[in-house]
Amino acid sequence: MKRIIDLRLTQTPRLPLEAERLRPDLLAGMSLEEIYALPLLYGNQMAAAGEFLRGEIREMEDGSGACLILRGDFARVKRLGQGMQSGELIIEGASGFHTGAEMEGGRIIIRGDAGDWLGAHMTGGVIQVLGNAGHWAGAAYRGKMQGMRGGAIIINGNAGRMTGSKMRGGLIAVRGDCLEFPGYCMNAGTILVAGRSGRHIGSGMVRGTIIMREGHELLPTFYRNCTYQPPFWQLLRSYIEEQGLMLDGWDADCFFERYSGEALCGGKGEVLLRHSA
Amino acid sequence: MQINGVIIEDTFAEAFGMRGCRLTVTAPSDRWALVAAQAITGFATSVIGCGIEADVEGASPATPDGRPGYDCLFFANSADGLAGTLLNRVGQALMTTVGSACFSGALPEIPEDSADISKFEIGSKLRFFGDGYQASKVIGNIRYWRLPVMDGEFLIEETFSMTRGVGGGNFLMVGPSHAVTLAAAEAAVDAIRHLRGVALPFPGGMVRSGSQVGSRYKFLKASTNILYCPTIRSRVTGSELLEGDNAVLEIVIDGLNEALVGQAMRVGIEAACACGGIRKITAGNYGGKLGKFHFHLHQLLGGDA
Repeated sequence: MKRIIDLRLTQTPRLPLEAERLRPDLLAGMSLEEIYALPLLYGNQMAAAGEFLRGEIREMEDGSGACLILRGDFARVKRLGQGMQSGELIIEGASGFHTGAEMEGGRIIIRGDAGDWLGAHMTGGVIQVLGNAGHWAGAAYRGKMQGMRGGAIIINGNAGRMTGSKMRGGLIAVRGDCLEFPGYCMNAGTILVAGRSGRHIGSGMVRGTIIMREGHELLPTFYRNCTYQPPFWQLLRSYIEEQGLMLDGWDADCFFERYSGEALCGGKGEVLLRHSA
Repeated sequence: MQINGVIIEDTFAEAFGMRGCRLTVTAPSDRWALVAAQAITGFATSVIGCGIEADVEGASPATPDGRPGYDCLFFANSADGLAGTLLNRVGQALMTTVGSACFSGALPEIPEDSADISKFEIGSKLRFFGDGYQASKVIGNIRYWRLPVMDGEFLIEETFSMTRGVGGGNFLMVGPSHAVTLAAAEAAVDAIRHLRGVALPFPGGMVRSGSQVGSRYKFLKASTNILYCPTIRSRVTGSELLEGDNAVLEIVIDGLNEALVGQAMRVGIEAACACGGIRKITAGNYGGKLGKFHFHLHQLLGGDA
């Protein structure tokens, strides 16, 4: 039996609304009245969730677990799905800052744009954004040493600056472009940008993999090794496609230019630039 | 009991509990995938002398990396034996093969939550061959190791799955001539090779030098199965061969579970009988005192128990 909690935003918050309690795994056992009574930080005061949300709960024979559907423009609603451990969160619109931050499992689908700090510090699960993502996707909060450590962030549109900054594991795949400093100080994990990237790719990276198409200018602290077909590429490509992102022109038999870097940080990281046929 | 004029002896095959696993090996082309599979399953006919029994199960229907690949089955007496031998085989026979990669094969024959399934590590141990230049890559929930080699990278999964399997299912075909017996054995092997989850570890799927436990020589643990050797029939007391029995071939079967071994024995015996010409089918056992699994031929073939 699958429980579907279908909520609609009745008014756009005038101030940021902190909604870390809106998680399918937390709401799974609650009635609508209990959900409406959940306290959320609204500006500098507490407000009941029911002041902004109305909806219904349905149960389906097929499937199991909980699915939380949020309809409306949630761009001013922060921390949706933060710390989520299981279930499915579908946002039928935009989502605000910190969506899926510290997420451990489950799946978040955002059918609009996502705000900054998407999936920051996440350790598991999958976030799929059909629109664009803001800055610092999968990154570490300021003062923290490790960003996302597992799971996947799949962005169909573009991404902002500092994508995957200090990431320690997991995957960020961007179908469109991204702004400056992708993989800044990354320690492990994989970032793929199918479009164009801003400058300073992999600046300060210690380990990990950044995959882009050819034509990007790398920092002088990256050294070219060879042209080859990484055996893991087809596995990664299949996994990304399983998550719903089709990479046109990125075939299974792609060749890549392999660069090691950043030399100032040990040179164990790699940048793979897709070689055009 | 007779099938197509072939006598089926009222006896049983005695088999043993083993640890088994499936590896999927891939390469840039079918040619090199087959080379890799044959290399890693080479010299693995019997645990007595090889420490492991292995077979190329067949072309893999869907490899993780999308390249041509083959599934290979391995069986050993213990978990440590299987893991240790495979580490050497992957390192010496597979990693050395051009363009190869190695993945833990799925075990759909065993329920996912079965307590029989356990994990063991190959990639995480083999990675040190990279001399510090190795790198791991986590895709989904699986960690792979990437070792720099002279033609690029050797990719191997970090952990593999093994299960409790069955080794030593067998049957012997007794025929009037070498050619007739070989034809029946080939038909049996061809039929069994259509099944998944079973391995025929001997060359070509059959063995001509069946063994008995012990020997008149103290230093030898096993020796030729004198009761089934036609050239010494008249010299051996209690020979199992009759006048006109001029050749015997045996098929030994390991499987990922008991049912698969039984099914393979049945399919193989039926194919051998359908081929015609052989005189008798029997099976090897040790009186039922050593092996946990007993495959009674008449029961397998739907006759009386």
